[in-house]
Amino acid sequence: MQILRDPEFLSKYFHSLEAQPKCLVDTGFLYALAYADDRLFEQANDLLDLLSDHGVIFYINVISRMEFVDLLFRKQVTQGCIELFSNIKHNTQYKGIFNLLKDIRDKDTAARRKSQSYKLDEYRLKKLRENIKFVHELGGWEDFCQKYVGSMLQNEWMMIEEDLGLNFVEVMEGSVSDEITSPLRWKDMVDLMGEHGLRGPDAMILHLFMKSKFEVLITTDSDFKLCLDNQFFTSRNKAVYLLT
Amino acid sequence: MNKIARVPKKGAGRRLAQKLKELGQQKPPQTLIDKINGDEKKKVAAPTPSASKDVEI
Repeated sequence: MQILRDPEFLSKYFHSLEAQPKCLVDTGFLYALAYADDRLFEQANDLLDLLSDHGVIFYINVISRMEFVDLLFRKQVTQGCIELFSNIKHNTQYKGIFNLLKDIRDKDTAARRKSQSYKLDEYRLKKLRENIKFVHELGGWEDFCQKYVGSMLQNEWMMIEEDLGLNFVEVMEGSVSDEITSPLRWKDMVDLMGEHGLRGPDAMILHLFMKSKFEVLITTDSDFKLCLDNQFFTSRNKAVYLLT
Repeated sequence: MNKIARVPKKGAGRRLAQKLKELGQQKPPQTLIDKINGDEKKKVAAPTPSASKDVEI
């Protein structure tokens, strides 16, 4: 198993393949395409353009499809919070929402200093919803979300997935397809979690990659490298492209 | 029937990033701002006509 980091090597690897290249990508790659404050933004977009040049077909699994849009939702709501904070008076009677928005703004600022892309966590998302509903009972939360992400998700998301060239692996337990040459089994995925100490989403991607005819896995997660250094995987004719 | 697989369009990621950036920079809903700032009950009064400064001849 090769670990690739250089786009030139990846380009040569694609040239060496006999058929149209097919890859699997993870959520980290997709998110890095979408936000300039992600430290891998330029790398990911240059890589996407390389995939376009080579006519590479890339796939994501259903977990990554959900994770991607969920991350966008959280990030866009974060952006909305920062805008809202800049528009409210500091002496507002609603101290709860003021302090929460300030906390979110401060976390975003701190993350940017470390070249990280801050997104609202589940706890703050719930608190934000509660506070906005407290201040603006009717439709406040929905209007807020609609502005920053809702209208895009409702009106443009399918076109965005098409523009990015997303293809989806949708295979039932024990089934095969044109891309999945060995049956996917839930038990095998769970075994991977136990054997290699992987979280569920990562184990699902690895399991899918090993059971497929995808030649390359594109990922931003260096944990895959640690796993793939394992002798079990070295005999396979595959490569991992790691954005770092 | 096999689906036709998609290939990414060049620049698609940067286009998405630009769109998301523009969405994120919009001003929040004014009603929400007004509620938080306690401005929602203020109404714009009809302007009072100022006293005429014309001099009657």
